[in-house]
This record gives sequence, structure tokens and C-alpha cells, in this order.
Amino acid sequence: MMQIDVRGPRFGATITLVVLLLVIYFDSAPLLAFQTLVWAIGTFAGPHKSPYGWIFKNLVKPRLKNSGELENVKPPQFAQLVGFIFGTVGLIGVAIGSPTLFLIATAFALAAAFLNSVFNFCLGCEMYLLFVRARLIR
Amino acid sequence: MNHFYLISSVIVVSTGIGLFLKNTRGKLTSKYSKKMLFSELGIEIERGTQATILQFKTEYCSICPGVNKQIKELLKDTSGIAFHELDAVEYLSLAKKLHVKSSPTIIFFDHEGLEEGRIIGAPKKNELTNTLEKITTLQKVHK
Repeated sequence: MMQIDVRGPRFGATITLVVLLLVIYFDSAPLLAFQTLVWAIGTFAGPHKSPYGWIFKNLVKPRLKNSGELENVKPPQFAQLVGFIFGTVGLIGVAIGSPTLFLIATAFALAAAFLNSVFNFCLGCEMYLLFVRARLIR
Repeated sequence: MNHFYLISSVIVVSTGIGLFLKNTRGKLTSKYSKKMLFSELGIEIERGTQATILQFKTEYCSICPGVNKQIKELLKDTSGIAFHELDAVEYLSLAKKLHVKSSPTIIFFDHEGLEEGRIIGAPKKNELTNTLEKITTLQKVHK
């Protein structure tokens, strides 16, 4: 099983938080499209392959003194999937001319990124089983 | 048009959720205890003579492997305590029966097979030790 530095996803969540704040503040659909692309890469190729993962690995990690703990890649990948779903819903809102849907979806993604970045919230721990129990996913 | 109020509301609500989870997760709670007997769970796994611990995990739980390691380390020099790690998706009906909604959820059964309580999330410092002490002490009192 692929293992990644636990600090990488939290770093990514912090950048995501800033990007989403800008998306809402400036009502920026192109910026949400960019963030959704980042989530898509994180979901399908792995969070370590996303642009934020690349920045962490190549620019941030070499400057950190301690070597971080490793974790299974799947939990942060699940968080990327949740972000990707919110991002897609937000972009559907733009496509159908519904600014409310765009804002609500982005606000949920912002809340998830905030919890991840500030409280180290594990989205997979709290939500995956609920999704399975609700038969939303296997 | 900016959405300063929306951003502020999201941050306030998220902070509330974060603080709530921080304060409630990792502590022993008996809120969910239905005084269910281990034998009523309908699973074929070994029960400890002193206590039985079930840890529910999922493959998307980042903290589960660390918690598992912590429990195994703690049980290294003990006897009579059976510990089992179960995948909540694989054992979905059992997880539902036990009202397990997130991972990790660690459920403690006493020597009689009754649920004594559970810890949801990563246990806070000394919470595991205190819980095990509590359960094994209870057994001595019962005797």
C-alpha cells in the first residue's frame, strides 16, 4: 500500500482553504474549476501527484527538519474525492446559472478544508462509514 | 459582490464543529451502551476472560493503524484481554447493530460480555489505560 507523508495532505488542505476563500470572495468560477481539477488529479492519481502534493514534496518537505510520519494514501484520497464532488456540483451550478448552488457547494468544500487544515479533521474517518451505511458507496 | 458574511458563517460553524469533535472524540463514553451481550452479536470471535476489545476500522481511516498499534502495545504484558480489529464495511451488519458510525470506534466488553463503553476517535492520553484499569477493577469488585 502506497504511503505518504502525513503533513502533505494538511499542507494541501491549507492551500485549498485559501483558494476556496478566494473563490467565494470573488465569485470566481475559473478558480473553482482550477481547484476541481486539482481535486480530480488527487482523486484519480493520488494526492501526492496533485499540484499541491508536488509543491509539498519538492519545495516544502526538503526544508523541514524532521521526517514526518507516513500514512496510507487512501484516507487523503477519499478527502480529495469529497472535494471533487463538491467542486463538480459547484461547477454544475455555474453551468445551469445557479449562483446559489455554486456558493453552497463551495461553502461545504470550504468547511471541509477548514476542518482538515485547522483541526486535522479526518474526513475518511467520519464520513466514509456514513456513506457506506447510507448505501451511497460500497 | 463579495460574500464576506458567507465566509464568516462557514468559519464560525466549522470552528464549532471542530471544537465539538475535539472535545467529544477520544474519551470513554457509555452513551451508546445498550448493555448488549457479546454473545448476542452473532459473531464467532474469541472472548477474553477479563475483557474483550473490538476496534472498528475502515480503509479510509488515517488514524486507525496508529490506534491499533497503541492498543496492541498496551496489551503486550496483559492476559485475559482479547483484542480484535474488524473492518466496519466487512462487518457492516455488526457495525450497525453496535451503532458504529465512524472509525476508529473502540468498544470495551467486560468479563461477562457486557459493553462497558466505547471510545470514538483517537483515544486521548491515558484514556485507554484508564479504561482497561476500570474494566479489570470492575471485574475484581464483581468477584
